[in-house]
Amino acid sequence: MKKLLLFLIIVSVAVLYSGCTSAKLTLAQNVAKFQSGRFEEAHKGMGELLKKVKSETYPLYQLTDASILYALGDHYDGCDIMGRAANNLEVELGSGTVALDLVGSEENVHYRGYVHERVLARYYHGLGYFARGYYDSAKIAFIQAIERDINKEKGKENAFASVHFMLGETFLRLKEYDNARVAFQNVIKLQPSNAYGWYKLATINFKIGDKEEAQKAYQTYKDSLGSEPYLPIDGSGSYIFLLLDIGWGPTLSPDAITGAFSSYQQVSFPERYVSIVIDKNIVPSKKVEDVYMQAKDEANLTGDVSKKVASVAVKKAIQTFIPFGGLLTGSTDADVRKWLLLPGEIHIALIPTEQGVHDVTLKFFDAKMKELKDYQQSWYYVPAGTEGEAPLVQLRSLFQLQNQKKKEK
Amino acid sequence: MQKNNLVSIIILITLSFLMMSCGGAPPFLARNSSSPPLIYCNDATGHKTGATPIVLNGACTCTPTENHYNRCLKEGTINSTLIYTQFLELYTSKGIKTDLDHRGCNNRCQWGPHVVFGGKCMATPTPGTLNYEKVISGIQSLTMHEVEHDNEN
Repeated sequence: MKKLLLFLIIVSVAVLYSGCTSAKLTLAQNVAKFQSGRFEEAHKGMGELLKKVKSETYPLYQLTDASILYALGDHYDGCDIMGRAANNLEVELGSGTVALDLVGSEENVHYRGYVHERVLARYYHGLGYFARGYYDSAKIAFIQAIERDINKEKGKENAFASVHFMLGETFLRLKEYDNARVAFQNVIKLQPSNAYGWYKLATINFKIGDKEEAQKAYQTYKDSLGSEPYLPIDGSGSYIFLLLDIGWGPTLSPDAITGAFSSYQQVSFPERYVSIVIDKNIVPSKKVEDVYMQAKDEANLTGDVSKKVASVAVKKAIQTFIPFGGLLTGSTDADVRKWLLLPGEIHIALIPTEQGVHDVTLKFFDAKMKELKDYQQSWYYVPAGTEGEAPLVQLRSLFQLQNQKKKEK
Repeated sequence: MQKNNLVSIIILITLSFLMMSCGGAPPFLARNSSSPPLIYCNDATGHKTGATPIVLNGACTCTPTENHYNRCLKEGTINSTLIYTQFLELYTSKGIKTDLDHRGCNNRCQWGPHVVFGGKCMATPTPGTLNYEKVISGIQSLTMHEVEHDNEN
C-alpha cells in the first residue's frame, strides 16, 4: 500500500513537471508574466501558443498577445494582430458550429468577446495606426469602435469618451476640423468636466474662425485646470501627449446559485490618481474611461442570454434521454474567459512644455491620495510637439515596473 | 513512530513552502529620474543640429526624407554634390530599413536591432519604451531597473 502511494506521488510530480500544460494554463502564465513586467517572455509564450493552438479561444489569445506587443512598443505587429483579433470576434459562425457550441462546454464555445472588448479592440487597433501616423486607417478603426458600442439602454450607447477623443484627435491631424469638432463635442457631452475636450474645442473653433465659441470653450478649459499650467488658444503651444492605461479591467465570475451565468467583477487595483512631473511642473492626468463601468452598462450581444438558456436545456435533454448522454455534452458552468490585459481606467494628459525632449516621472496615488512609491516610473527623452503634431506616448501602470533593486537576468 | 516522522516531515515541507511564498514585495528603489546624455537624434527627439547621418559615421538616425536631405545639405553634414536619390542610396546600399519602409516596430522586426547597435532597422523607436531610451543614449545595457550613466558607453 505504501509502495503504491509513493508510486502515485512520483507519477503526479512527474506529470506536473513534464511541461504538459493546457492552453488555459499557458494563457494564465503569460498573463502573470505580463503583470510582473516580463513582457518579452509573455510575448514569447503567447507566440508559441498561437502557433500551436487553433481553438475556439483563439481570438482571446490574439487580443492578449496584441496587448503585450503594445506594451513592448511594437505597434507594427501589435496593430496587425489586434486588427485580426477584432475581426475574429465578429466572424459569422456556420449553423453546424452554432449547434456544436450549444452542446459543448461553455469554455469551448467560440470566443466572441463582449461589447466593451469589441469596442476596445477597435480602439487599440486605431491607436496602433495613430502611433505610426496612419491617420486615415486610424479614423476607420475609431469609427468602427464607436459603431460597436451598442447598449441595452438608450442614451448609454456610444459612450466611450476615450474613443471619441482619439477620433477627434485623428480628425485634427487630418485637418477635418468640422468632424473633429463633432467628436470633441461628444467628449464634452459624455464628460462635461473634461478639460482637454474643452481645449480641443477651443483650438478648433479658433482655427475655423469662430472666436466667440473658441473663447467660451477656452475659458471652461482654464477654469477646469485651476492652477495647472495651460496651453494657448491658438494651438501654438507645445505639449507632451500621454495616454495612460491604469490598473486592470473587470473579470468574470459565475453566479453563486447555478454557476451557469457569469457577471463582471471589478478588479481591485490601488493606483487611482497619477501625477506627471516634468521640469519641476506637476500635472495630474485626467480619467477619460472606466472600463468596469462600460462593461457593467453594456448590452449583451444579440442572443447571448437566450443562447445560454437554450444550451442548458439542450444539454439537460441529452443527459436525460440519451444513455450515457452526459459523456456527449460539456458542462453548464459559466464561461469566465476574458481579455485580462485590459486596463481598469484610461487617463489622458496634455502637459504644456517646451519643444524637444523631457524626462518624465509618473507618480501614482491611491484613492486616499497616498503615494504608491512602488508604482513610480521615470521615462527619458519624452518628446513634446505642437497642436496636431505632438507624438502620442502610451504608458501603463504596473507594480514595480521600474525598480533599481531588481536585477534583470 | 515511522508514521509520525513522515507526517512531521510533510508538515515541515508544507510550512517551508508557505513561508517562501509569503515573503511580501521585494524592496523598491525608484529609477533615476534624470536621463543619460542624448547621443543619437531621430524623428521623435527632433534633429540635433549639425549631427551627421549615421551612415557617414555620425550620430543622426533621422529618417532620410527629402526634407531631412535638404537640412543636411544646409548644415553641411553631407556632400553638397549628393542628390537625394544618392543620399537614399547611402542607406539602401547597406540594407538599412527606415520609416520610409515600415514604422512602429520599435526595432523588433526582422531587420532589428536598431542600426545604433549594429542592426539594419532604423525605424524610429517608440517613445515610452526602454528600447527608445537605449537607442537614443547609445547605452545597450540600460535597464528599467539599474540605471548607470556610464560615460564609457
